[in-house]
Amino acid sequence: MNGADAERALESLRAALNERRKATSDPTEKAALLHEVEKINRALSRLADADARAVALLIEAAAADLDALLATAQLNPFDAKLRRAVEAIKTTASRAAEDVGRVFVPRNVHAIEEDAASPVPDFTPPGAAPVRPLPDAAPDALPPVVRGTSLAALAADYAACWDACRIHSTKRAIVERSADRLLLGRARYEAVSARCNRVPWQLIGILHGLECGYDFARHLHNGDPLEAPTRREPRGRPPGWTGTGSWEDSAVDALEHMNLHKVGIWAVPQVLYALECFNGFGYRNKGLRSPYLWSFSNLYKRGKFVADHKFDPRAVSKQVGSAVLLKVLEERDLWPRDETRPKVREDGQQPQQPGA
Amino acid sequence: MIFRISASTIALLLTLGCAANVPRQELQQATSAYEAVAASSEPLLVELAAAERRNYVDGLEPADVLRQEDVVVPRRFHPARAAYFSVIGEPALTAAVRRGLGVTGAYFRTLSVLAEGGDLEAAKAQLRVLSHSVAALATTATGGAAAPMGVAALALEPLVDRWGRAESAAELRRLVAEGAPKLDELLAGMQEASAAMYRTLKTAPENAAEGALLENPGARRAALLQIAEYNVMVSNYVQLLGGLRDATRSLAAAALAPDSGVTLASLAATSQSLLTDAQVASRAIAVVRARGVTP
Repeated sequence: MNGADAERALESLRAALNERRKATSDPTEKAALLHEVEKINRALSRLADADARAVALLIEAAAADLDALLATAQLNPFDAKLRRAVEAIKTTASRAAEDVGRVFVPRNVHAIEEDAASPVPDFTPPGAAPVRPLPDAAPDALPPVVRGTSLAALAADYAACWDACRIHSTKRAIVERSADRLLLGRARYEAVSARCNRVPWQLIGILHGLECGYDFARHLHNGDPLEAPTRREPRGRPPGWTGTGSWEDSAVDALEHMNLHKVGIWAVPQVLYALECFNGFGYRNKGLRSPYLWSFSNLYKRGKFVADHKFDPRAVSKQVGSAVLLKVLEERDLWPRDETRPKVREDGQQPQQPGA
Repeated sequence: MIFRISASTIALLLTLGCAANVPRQELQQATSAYEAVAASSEPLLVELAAAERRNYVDGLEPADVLRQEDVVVPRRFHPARAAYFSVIGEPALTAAVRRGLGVTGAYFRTLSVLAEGGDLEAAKAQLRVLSHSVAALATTATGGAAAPMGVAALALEPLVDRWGRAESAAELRRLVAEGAPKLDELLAGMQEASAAMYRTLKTAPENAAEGALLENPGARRAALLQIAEYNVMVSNYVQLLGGLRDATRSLAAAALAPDSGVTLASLAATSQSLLTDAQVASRAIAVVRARGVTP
């Protein structure tokens, strides 16, 4: 017997008992009959309760089904698509920034590689007195490391290294990408160059990469944020800086502070000297070529300052050398080739000029 | 200036031009029908909850309760029955009907949001925030030359609007196609539950009428009037649910019908606006690609 049948059966029985209750006048019989009716009433209450709970389960199941569908509703039409697309862009831009950012290390890391205090830059060009003669560079010969800290002492060395420099084929791609990144800021570097007595924009760009990772929100001096004067050395630059000036304004101050605006002639030796001054002569003092100029070329193999005054002869720099970067600019005709610069021969004689 | 427009862009913009009709009128009608059911159900559910509690207690054997006049309490506590006595829960059938109504309301609210284009403001805000992040990253990566990326993102916002509405209309169609049968099953179940609801409601007054009040005409009449009132409440509930089912069927039919009402004039207007949209998109995409970032 199902619930409905049971209900009807109980109701019928109750009806019969109630007929008897109405008919009898015996209070004892009435009470007994009422007692029986109340038992039936309890049973009917239980049946109603059971029925309600059973029906509730059916409604809950149907509601859960619709609820599950609603949980899949996309009210923001771009939630998945936009997030995926823009995350892909962020990842791409992030990787590009990291890739190229690795090639230059801000000055605060350069500082730890200095094994001696940087001398005051001396851009006095080589005078009439002949410099120490250097042999003609054979194709695979490398010039010996020259000690010294003045342009006069190092100019010929820079020229010889420049001639001998060959970019590692395995590093070519990353050097090219570094050059691409530098060139993106070319217009801004040229603007600074025009305000700074024509300090080469290429040098400004290389310094920008070295000091700031190409971030135009940072001071060229040392990579500190533009919103305040520099906190690290050189401190308090530009003087009177309120954080509202442009990167260009700060860069002009950085170059003038280094007296680069006073350098009249900018050839390769001057640029390389400026870069090595900026980074320090610690390597040269150890008889090594600085990786900050020559890393990723045949002029540098290994050896690196890995902490303050701590040199590891086995560590290898993973950054593009600034001179190597300038080499690529020269290849792209973005740094003038000096076709007239004479090579220095082993016997000290000037090489024969073309057409002489 | 001639813009090169990719095939995929054209396909997207054609989709925008031929976006699904949004059956706003039918949706409004269905929503109104739901609101009528929800409003009229509240007094019914209050009575139903009380009736369920009463039936449970009344069904206990005398040995299982403590009784003094009108005060009856169970001797033992059953966790499964906590909702029958808790002030923060409801008995089973009441809770189920309320849940059914709740999810029905959520369904129509979701459709209404989608009919208005979805949460476009949130989507556009998200687009702006993410674009700023990307532009900042690209600025770092490109040496300050990525400012146009921010401009490109803003130029895309009108397209975002149209695209968003088209996407939301498509999502609405999906929810109607998949949800209408489920909703109808739920509403049918809630209609069929009316028999159990009436039985639950009338049991206590009926038991009284057939028990202690049998030979008290005045009180018995009052009990029967109470049952009559429950009858009306449940009948109204069933009728309103029937109206809601009809409105939902109309909504489904309108939402899933093939597009209609396209005229040459509307096609021409759509084409011109598509061309403008295509130019905007191409300019924006060209700027982004020139900076070496592939969307």
